[in-house]
Amino acid sequence: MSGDLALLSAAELARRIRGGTATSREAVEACLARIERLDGTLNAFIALDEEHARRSADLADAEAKRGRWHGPLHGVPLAHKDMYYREGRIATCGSKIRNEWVAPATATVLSRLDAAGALDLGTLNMAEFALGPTGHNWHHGHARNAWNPEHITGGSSSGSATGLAARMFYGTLGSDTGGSIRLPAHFCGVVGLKPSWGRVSRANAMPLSWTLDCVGPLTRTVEDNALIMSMIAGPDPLDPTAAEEPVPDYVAGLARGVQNLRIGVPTRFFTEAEAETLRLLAAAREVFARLGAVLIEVPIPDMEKVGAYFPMVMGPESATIHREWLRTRPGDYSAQVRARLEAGLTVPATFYLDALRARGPLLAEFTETVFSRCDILMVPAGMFPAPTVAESEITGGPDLVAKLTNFPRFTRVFNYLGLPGLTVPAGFTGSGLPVGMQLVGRPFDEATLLAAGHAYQQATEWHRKVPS
Amino acid sequence: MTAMRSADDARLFAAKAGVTLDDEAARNAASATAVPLAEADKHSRALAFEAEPGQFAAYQQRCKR
Repeated sequence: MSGDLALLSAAELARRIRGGTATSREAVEACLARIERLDGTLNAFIALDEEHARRSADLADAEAKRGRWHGPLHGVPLAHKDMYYREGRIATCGSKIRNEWVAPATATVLSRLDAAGALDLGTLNMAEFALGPTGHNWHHGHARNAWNPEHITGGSSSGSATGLAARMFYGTLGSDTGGSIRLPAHFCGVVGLKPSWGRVSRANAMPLSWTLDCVGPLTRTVEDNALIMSMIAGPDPLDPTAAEEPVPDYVAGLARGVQNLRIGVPTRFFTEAEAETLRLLAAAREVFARLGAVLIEVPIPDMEKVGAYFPMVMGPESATIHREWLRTRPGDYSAQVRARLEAGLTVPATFYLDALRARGPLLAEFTETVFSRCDILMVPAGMFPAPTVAESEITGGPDLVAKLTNFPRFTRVFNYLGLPGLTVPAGFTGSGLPVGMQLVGRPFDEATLLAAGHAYQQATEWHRKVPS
Repeated sequence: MTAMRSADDARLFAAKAGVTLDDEAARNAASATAVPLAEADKHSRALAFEAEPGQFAAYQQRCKR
């Protein structure tokens, strides 16, 4: 029974717990058994607290027996990237520098998931300070892809994506500054949502670049993603950048389907992905067409311009956040992360401010060009499937940044534009590696992306496949 | 144009922020930023005189469905 439970989605498990046909303790044991069996290879966890997990599960089950339900995620085991602070717990942020740092407060998103009844199994591996698109971590060990451990997970939410694919937990929070949710979701065959900038509170989550950072869920199904989004989205007095925008019922909205939904197909830039990725996306478009969506070719504005401005924002902001440690503890960074942060020090203030001045007008131009013709845009999440760990080991040299830039080429542009992007598994390559599509919408229109992704998953089986 | 051109420039910028770059780090920082700075500079010349930072949330509202 417990082995089967680990394969359920979060929503299915929650329904079973509420219906009395499963217990939270059984679910925790199912997860722990898989962690015990697989994490030695995949390295998804930084810290696993088995005793706390079992105690929390027993408490959730006891409360359920008394009819006391905390919320829609009552008793469901989750685990999160090690950059969401929980008061009194170490948050390493994937680094050596914060290896023993104890958080003084709890992240708003964790508090909201706690209130919804979710359990927290422990902290997950991530790129050092969330600065890395491959999933390499030279302090805590590289996370490895659940579909083939020779391959990368993608980053920075590396442990989140591979642990989820391996069914070690039922859902997880990642963060996305240039693609750190959508890329690992693409490489590991899970669902990942980068919400609109400001949609989800960032309070007491580790910052990397405040203009670009977004908090969002990675899940096995789009339904689970909608469920977690319904719990975490919305304004927060602790984060003045969290938008006042009303939060729709994302789960109820899944039933909208895609009948007559206009899905934009790019005519340039996003067409530069490798051939197998493009072939799988073409097949996904056929699924949408059968479901009643209308596929429309749309022109794409100058994304190279957007891509040029992105590092003018991320570089100086991340270098500013890390400046004191770059002065005092430079040797405690890995070579790759240090080199990227140091490059950010060399961007003049006028260039940074120009990139911020251009952001709104470029969003308006993109919206007018693309979303006047379609409701959502469908593009690849990545240029290629997951490379091997060895071939993406990039630690130095004058072309370090250029080599890394190809990874988030199709994701970082939407961080700069602040638009929501949802990665949904769209199939597998001939060698068995997952490929994801990325659905992009207008500001704060996550509901349409989730409805489209859910409709696709109702018609396909990719999300039900489990790594052997 | 103030775009980064040399390792010396990179070292100088970092030094103004209080961070010391050795020769290799300075060369790498200059290489990493040379093209992005040149590209961004090219695009910024077309920016409206009146454009201001800090208005992004208003643009988000304007661009909603």
